[in-house]
Amino acid sequence: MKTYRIAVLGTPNSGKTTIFNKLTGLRKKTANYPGITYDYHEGKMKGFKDICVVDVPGTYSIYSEDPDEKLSYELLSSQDKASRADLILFVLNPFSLELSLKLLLEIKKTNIPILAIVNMQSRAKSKNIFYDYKHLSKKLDLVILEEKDISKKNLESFHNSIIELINNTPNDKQKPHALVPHSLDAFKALHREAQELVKGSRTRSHLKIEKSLKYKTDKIILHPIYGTLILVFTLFCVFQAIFYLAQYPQNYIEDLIAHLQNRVSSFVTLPQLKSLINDGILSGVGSVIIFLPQIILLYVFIFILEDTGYMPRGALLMDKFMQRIGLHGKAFIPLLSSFACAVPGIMATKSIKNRRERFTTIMVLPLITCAARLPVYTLLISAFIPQKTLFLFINQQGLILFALYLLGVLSAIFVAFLLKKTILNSKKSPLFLELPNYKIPSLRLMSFYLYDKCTLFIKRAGTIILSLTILMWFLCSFPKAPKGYIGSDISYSFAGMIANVLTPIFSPLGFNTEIIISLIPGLSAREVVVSTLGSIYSISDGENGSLLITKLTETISHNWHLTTELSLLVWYVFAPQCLSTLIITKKETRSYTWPILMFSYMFILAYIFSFLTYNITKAVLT
Amino acid sequence: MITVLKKGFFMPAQNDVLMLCRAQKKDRVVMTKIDADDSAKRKFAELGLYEGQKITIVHNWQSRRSPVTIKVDSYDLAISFEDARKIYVRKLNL
Repeated sequence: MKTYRIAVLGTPNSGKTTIFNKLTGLRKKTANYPGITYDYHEGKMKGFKDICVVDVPGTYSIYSEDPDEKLSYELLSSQDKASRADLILFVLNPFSLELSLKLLLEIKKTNIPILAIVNMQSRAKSKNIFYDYKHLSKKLDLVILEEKDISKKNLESFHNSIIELINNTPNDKQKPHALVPHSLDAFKALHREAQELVKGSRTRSHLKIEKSLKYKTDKIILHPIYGTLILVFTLFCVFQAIFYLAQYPQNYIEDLIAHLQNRVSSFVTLPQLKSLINDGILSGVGSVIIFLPQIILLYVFIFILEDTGYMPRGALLMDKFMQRIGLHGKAFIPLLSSFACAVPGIMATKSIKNRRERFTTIMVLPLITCAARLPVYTLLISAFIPQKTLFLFINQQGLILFALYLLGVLSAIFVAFLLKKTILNSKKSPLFLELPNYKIPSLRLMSFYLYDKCTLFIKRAGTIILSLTILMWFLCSFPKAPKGYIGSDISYSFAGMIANVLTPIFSPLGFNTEIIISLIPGLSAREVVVSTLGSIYSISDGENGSLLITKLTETISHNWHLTTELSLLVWYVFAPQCLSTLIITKKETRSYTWPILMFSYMFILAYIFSFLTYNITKAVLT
Repeated sequence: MITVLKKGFFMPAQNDVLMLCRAQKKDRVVMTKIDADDSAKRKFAELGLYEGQKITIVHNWQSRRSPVTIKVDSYDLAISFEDARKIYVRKLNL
């Protein structure tokens, strides 16, 4: 069966991914700011296996030099027929119709058949934006569809019109057109043509600027003083809320796991099997799963910031500051995304055109506190910092968490500044963005987004974390110490042997055997350190099935000195303990040099600052 | 001739031509010059910003920490203050 490739093209933030999701039934991430799609997404059209839909990053010109926007050029001009698009589904954005039409006029010069679709029509109507699309269709000599034309019941007729259009296009027209980069004058001419088309299709006068909500809100949000204060206050509230709101569901999860452990203890009689399930699996995986509410909350806040349209405004407000430290204003978006995970953050740097500015951003992103650090921070803070309200609603533990996030940001600033002054010195590239309209976040999209993120987290807990936990249980449990052995059982085990080799390296940082053991599997993913500590102390205590997060917190606070805890916290601010980040850095920079450099500088920073923290606090406290 | 107004702020001597960063809110202006290299000019042109284009200033706080927001045709753009210094405009309502 012949498969046709349909490329969904349009300007940034025109809703291409929403159209792609409607056609394929997939749930690729959408957000209310330009540049959210930075790579191809492919999927089969719902119910029609002969149609492959390709979601392409938005672009203002097919001749764009930006790394993400170049993808559309490749898709249109490829000599290989299999990878070239057979048809373009062009998404028109009624909020910036001139820009959409300018791109459409550019694309029309290729010989690929086009179908256009108007997106966000109801939102545009609510803002008093009306166009005569029939008139526009005649002028452009192409079919313009509406959103309802690709609804579930109309999908078959949409499929038929695609096939008809492709088959009715003469073969010679399906050959790639030699795309010649436009001159500046050609850009101007196309834009003027687009302006004329819009003028001829406008049916009602648009709202006056002053009357729009966007105008009134931007007046405060982008204000040099109020805007900055709002930005700082918003981020501060996010971190406070993560600690404050998550504690209730966390208690339920903890009770559930404790209940499961008790059931295992009463039903399983074999001591080794009971130890594996309770000390290994339930203590290990349970101590990571317990942080799911906090991670969900973090994603909820990031989604709200993205979907309301606040993100690009934050980028603009931060531009001056970013510029001082050697980053581009657009780096703010990957930086904020990295609070969830550095991997999508690194991929999102594709929107930064300048190679050196982009690489500087990639190099500092792993220093931003990601969701995987949250379990470690929460555990260590809970162990040593009492739960206390300082002033009105300010939670003491939340304040320390905010300070750790701030330390991550400050270290990223410091490293960016150093890189910019040394190996990645470059001229600043311009920053100007299309400002999206504000919108109320869609609960439906948020639930999809959270479902995907939670599933990913639980899958990770059920695969990587579970397997590493079982491996660590084995390494910590065998060989068994002989009777009369002086010292803990764990020091006699394989894990203890490995820790003995590493002790000379990590003992100057104040790390004990348990920490050193947990750091080994923690190299693959940061949060594994919590599950490993859960297993280690469960085994060391010899109390089958009773060690959950509360007990683990108590055990740590009882067995560790404050100096060790602070040293480990600082270690986690800097340490390069994430294999996925290094892999994606290699992929994005197309070189081994950058991930090696990233690992080295982060390890050196982690070692130096942990060493200093341990020794200074030791000198002060003793 | 260039008149120095304030450290970092320069305005050409002609009264009706000024930098975009110095234009007032609600001003209707026409772009007269973009002081940038070809690559940057191309980026500006992709978003419909080129010499001869008419724009309306939506917000301008004249602060380095805030962008200048403008209306071009039916869409809104925000330009960082530093980049707004590279664009010269002439007031249309003079």
